[in-house]
Amino acid sequence: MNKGKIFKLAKGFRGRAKNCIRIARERVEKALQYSYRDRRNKKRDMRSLWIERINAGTRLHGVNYGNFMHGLMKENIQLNRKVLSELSMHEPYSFKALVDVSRNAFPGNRPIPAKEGLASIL
Amino acid sequence: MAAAPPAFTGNLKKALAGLRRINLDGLRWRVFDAKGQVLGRLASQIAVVLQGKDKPTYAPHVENGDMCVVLNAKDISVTGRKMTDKIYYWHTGYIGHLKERRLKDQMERDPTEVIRKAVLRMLPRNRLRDDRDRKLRIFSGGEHPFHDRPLEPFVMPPRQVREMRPRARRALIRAQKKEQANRAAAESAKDEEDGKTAKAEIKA
Repeated sequence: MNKGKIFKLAKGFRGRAKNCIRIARERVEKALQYSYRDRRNKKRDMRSLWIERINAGTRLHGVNYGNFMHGLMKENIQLNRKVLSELSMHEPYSFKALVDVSRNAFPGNRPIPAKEGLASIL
Repeated sequence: MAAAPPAFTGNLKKALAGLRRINLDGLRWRVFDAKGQVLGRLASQIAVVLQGKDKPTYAPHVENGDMCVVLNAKDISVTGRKMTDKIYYWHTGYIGHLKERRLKDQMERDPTEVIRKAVLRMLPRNRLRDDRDRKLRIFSGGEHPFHDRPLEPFVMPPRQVREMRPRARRALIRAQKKEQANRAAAESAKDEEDGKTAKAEIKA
């Protein structure tokens, strides 16, 4: 009854934790606690990953994440970070348009310097 | 610039080590020039590029950084008295065997290790760290054997250099004036010698 359910949840565990009830019971309890905690953590991690991607995408155009978001808030563009990160990955031209909109609303960054110096070596 | 690239002197085997292990399609080859750059500031930029954090397709579980080639590692500069005072410590595991080495000595032994240590210690300590280390190639001179690859120079972001403190600035001005005086004295001494030899030739 309970043992069957526990062994079913303990599939793939290491060592005796998948075979012996005393160890498996502990490990399964811990696993369920972790999964409860991580269902909440996953939302945080995904948001932080979207922010990293948006940051990388905007820095390619000379704007950093903070100024970009500030410009978007000023223009009342309510796209969320998930959509913005997808745009930055797959729709580069649309993303550039958004970056320009943000830059017009809140000019806070210096332009990207032109390539010079090392280009003469290569 | 070089139509016929200069022959690469140095350890070709070490430069090409492990290239087969890296999945190279789609990666760019970025070239960093370390001449006159400050050690830590350059290393942090290299670490960002090596992790792939400047690409919008960054994923933390996938290793997607660009290949980084660093040139002129022996011309790296450090501020303050770090050239003589920065000490690298390591412990061998035996009791009492804490070894140390100064930056100056390390630069004489192997200048590439200085940059490599700096960058490696800025990468996150996870399972991708060794793969990222493999993508980093450092050369102490200006030559490298990768001329057939599509190379891109890396432009360092503009930096706000703090203005010198008054005491340091006065010391710098004093040193400059002393150098000028020495040079002037050397030139005048040389002119006198030339004058004397010329007169000797005329007399003889």
